[in-house]
Amino acid sequence: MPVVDLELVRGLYKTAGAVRLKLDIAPRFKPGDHVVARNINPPGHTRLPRYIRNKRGFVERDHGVFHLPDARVAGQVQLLRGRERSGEPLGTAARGVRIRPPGQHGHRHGLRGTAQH
Amino acid sequence: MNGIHDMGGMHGLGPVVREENEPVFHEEWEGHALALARAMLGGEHFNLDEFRHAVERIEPSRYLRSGYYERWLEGTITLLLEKGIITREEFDARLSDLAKRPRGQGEA
Repeated sequence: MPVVDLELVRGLYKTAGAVRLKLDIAPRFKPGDHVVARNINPPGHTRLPRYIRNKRGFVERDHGVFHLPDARVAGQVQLLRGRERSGEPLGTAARGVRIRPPGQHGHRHGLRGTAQH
Repeated sequence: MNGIHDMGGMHGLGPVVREENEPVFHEEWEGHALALARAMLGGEHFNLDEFRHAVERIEPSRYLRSGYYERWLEGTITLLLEKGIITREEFDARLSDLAKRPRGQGEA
């Protein structure tokens, strides 16, 4: 007798481990804003690659609210990259923004709370 | 972490070689590695970020020698052990059993 069946797997595949959050946080940036990626070097997990740290660009698109990957790894120091609001956990949720370096159309950097494999 | 996985911008690694008509899996075990990781994620034994971090923590020279699903398998094993889902003793005993079998007689 199988432990799991195809329907169970289909359901899980769609919903389990979802990284989006149904949380209404006001965005700190909007498309068109000029931003600078922080130069953080956390010993734990981050989705901010070295090639983008300290780089300037402008916000192209807002992807909505996601878990902050840095904060989701058990036991590691949380970075306050997320939005700080009273009543909400610090550093655990962030609006994903997509930035584009000035003058380089078509070349996109993702500054997101999460990203694809 | 400023690990070996964070390769964007590195020089000397050569061009990305794309395989023509690449199969979904090169070997059957890769499918098992994918299924195992997905099952663990689906069962919420760990989350995607923990999984990525486990892969990022692979020792650099081994990371560079490993294929994609080898890294998935190693990340999964690391978390299974760290989370206490399996013990080091169970894992070693199982490896020892498998090592005794003639090649080609593995099981899922």
